[in-house]
Amino acid sequence: MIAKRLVFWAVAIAAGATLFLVAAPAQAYPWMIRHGYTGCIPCHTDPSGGAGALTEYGRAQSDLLLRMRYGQGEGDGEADRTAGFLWGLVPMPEQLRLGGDFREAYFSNQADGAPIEQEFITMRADLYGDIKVGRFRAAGSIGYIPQGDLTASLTTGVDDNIISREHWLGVELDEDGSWLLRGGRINLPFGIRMIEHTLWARTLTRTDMDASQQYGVALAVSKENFRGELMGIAGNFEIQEDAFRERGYCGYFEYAPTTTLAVGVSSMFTRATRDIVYGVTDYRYSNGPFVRYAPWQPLVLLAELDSVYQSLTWNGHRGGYAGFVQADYEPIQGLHLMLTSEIMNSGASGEPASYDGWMSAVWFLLPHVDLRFDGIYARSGIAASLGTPASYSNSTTWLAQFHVWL
Amino acid sequence: MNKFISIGAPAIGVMAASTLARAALSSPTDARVVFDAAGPAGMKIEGTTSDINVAEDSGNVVITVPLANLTTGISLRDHHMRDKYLEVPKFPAAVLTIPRAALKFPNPSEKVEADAQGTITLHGQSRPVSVHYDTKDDGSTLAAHGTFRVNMNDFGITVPVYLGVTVKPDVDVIASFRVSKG
Repeated sequence: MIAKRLVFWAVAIAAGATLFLVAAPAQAYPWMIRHGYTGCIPCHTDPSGGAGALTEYGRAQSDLLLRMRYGQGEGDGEADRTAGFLWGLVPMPEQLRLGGDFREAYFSNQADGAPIEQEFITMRADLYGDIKVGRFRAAGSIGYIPQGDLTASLTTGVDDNIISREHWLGVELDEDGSWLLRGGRINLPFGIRMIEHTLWARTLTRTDMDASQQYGVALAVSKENFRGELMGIAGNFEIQEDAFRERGYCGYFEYAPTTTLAVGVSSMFTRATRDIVYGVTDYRYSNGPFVRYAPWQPLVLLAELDSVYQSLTWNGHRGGYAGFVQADYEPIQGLHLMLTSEIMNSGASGEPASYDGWMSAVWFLLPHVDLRFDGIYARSGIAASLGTPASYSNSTTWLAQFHVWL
Repeated sequence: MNKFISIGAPAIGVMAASTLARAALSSPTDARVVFDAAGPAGMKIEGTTSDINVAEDSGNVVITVPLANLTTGISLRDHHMRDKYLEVPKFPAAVLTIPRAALKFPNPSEKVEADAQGTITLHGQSRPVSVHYDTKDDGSTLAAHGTFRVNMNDFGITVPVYLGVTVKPDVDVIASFRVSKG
């Protein structure tokens, strides 16, 4: 009984830590496919989207298509000047794209048999920029994080660290900007980049956009009907011991037969002399498909399913999977109602599958400002151990977020 | 991207013309004209309309496609397209004229694939156009599908540029519809 209770506590702490210790991505909205945007480049400086600064065009679209218009149609006028950097107060040259994010959250988690956790969390306080000179590009971010994100930390404190999630140099290989070769610390090109960074598909594959970036060289392409990126991974050099650094490759390819449907696959393989979790030599494989589809402009469906296989030297194998389905409904511009369901098995021997369900609402209420509310119920499978049979732990999480970007 | 052009609708005219010789002059149904324009780095813009009028005049089939209802899914972009680039208040329709004798028609339960030469009038200017089309006899209806490419510069239409995004001047047009054999 004591062992089972300890396991419940461990799961509760782990669930809390998952949401607590990693920050939210800045602006990763794959449901923009509802407006016919299958690619990322028109709006994002990162060719695979989500991370980094917005382009001037992207800022205009955020004003026209993202925020609530309060009776004013998006066709009633040009993008407001407040769409610019710092609400348009500081004009920027076209070659320099700057941005910033501040995201604060109230977090509450209640797991079976465990005390309730309630915290205010600074999820993100970052500044970032991208400069383009001719075909040459340089991009980076710098931020402060009170807790967590240690694998992106430039400083070495337990708390209160200065972090840089990405910094890279690149060159566009054609005049169109369709091909970008870059090297540095880069978000791993894998799966759907979305703001729900704690989705199991992101955490199990270690491909979230908070602190899972790696150093390496990547080649990205964006064409009318397809896009993709392939990265050679050299390791995360914010991790001090080389033995813990993962090396290998990571990439995705997405095909868009129409402007409202995109289907893709991702693949990753890495090797670490000592896995950061298991401490032994680890060969890790992740593969899986994903899809984005807008059957009707107010509704977008997103889905991803990834297999994860780990060969742990002298410690056997772990074969698991993680996936999700999300429906994003936008009844009026600027208000998103979302249902998300996940399934996951981390691959431990005898571990039953975990499930969860999210109910979420996001309100883009003002230029550069949004509020988000999530309710998450999770039923987490717990592998049998120490004579205790396999079981489940249930938890309920509430999250309220305030987000402002520059 | 909010400023770009749509000049795809005339494609439907060729398909209509190919079927009209065998079918009664009924209005096409299930009509859909799609134009594909492109921006930088794979950016794709798709506009659609289902408006079309068909008539015969002096041995020609004349297809008129009103442009007022072309939509791209983004209202501001539609406004720019209609008012600034297509200048729809001045040039409200695209017109395709094609000699009836230039069209090929399928036998019952067969399909015909061919190219047809016609003249397209858009933005107040007329240019020859070659359309690749196929027409299939489905029994009671004829189903048609066709494509062609136009260049904005040929019609004096300003190439749209918006906040650093420049639309490419070539526009691919894909059209399909059904017509009753009445």
